[in-house]
Amino acid sequence: MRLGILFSGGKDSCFAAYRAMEHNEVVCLISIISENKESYMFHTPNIELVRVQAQAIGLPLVVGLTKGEKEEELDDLRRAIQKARREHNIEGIVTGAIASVYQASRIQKICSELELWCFNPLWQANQIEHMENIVKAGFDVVITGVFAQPLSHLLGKKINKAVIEELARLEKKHKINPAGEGGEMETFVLSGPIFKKKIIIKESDIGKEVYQIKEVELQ
Amino acid sequence: MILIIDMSSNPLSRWEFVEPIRKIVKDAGFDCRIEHYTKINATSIVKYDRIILCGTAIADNEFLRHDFSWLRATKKPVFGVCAGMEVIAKTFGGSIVDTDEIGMIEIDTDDKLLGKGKVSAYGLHGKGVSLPEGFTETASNGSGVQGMKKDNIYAIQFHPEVRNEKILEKWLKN
Repeated sequence: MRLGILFSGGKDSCFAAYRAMEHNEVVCLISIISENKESYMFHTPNIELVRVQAQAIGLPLVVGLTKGEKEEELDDLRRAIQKARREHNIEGIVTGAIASVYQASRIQKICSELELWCFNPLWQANQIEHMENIVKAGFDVVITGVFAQPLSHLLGKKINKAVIEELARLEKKHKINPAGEGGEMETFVLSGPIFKKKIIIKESDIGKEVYQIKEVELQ
Repeated sequence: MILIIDMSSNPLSRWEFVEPIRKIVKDAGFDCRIEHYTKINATSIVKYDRIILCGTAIADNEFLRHDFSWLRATKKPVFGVCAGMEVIAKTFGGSIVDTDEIGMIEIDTDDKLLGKGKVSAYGLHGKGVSLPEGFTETASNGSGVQGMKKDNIYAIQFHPEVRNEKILEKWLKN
């Protein structure tokens, strides 16, 4: 089946793409770039770098722009998905939703209206096991946003065994979602099994909540 | 040993509709095995204690073309979720109707597995069922039948893997 990946550039959408590629043909990435930093659906630091990631993965990117106003951004998503269908003849969408009924059900509704298949291969996954699977598969992931105080020391760190153990500890102590599904954390993927080239960070800026990637090169 | 039946026609749906069920079964302390619905017949189910029929993607209706007549003969406890409920209804003479629900819904129930009164549940389906003869409705709402049972067979239209894991745990331990 020809599929488009709803792609934020973070670990979940990359791992969802990896799963989708096992038995289906992934033909494009679809990204929504939101002007609203408080967007419920789409905002993530470094979102503009999805263009570089698409190049590194070797797939065409369909971009939808949105002002990020609560329900209107869903119309913008619908338009982007329709564009992906027009340009790449997709039959379905793949998302990296894990536990958010809010996000997943809205995307399911859009797909249902457009008569497209909707796949959520990370749905209800154990979040620690999911993080372990990402590392095991060989994805190189950097934490680019931390929006919950107990996670602040992890900003800019790569996700590895030690970081996952720390997230598991914080989950027990502070009841955070260790994969950041509740918006506690955002990530950016630099390389992995779906990438044809690696992204090398040449310049970055670490703030209080956001690790801003300023300059990259492909290798 | 619990048999978990995969109802999907695209393997990518297994992660979404079968794996969460496997996790609930495993966490409840039961061994299980996953098989695709096309591989199941009256003989292949003999070695299992209980059978769970999973759901699948809204766009996926391929399973409705398959013959599940082994369901009529088995005395083993069977639990159907969404697509699973649809094949149970169809096999026992009910019909498949168009009715869609996506997201958290409210159901009315008075049942020892589902609870009493209004219960919040995750609906994800483009089709529903009419109640087959001999079945009792265990849950409903404005959109139709949300749960039904008969003898060893229990089925729900909504997805217990989202916020209602306890329903499946209770059925496994019942």
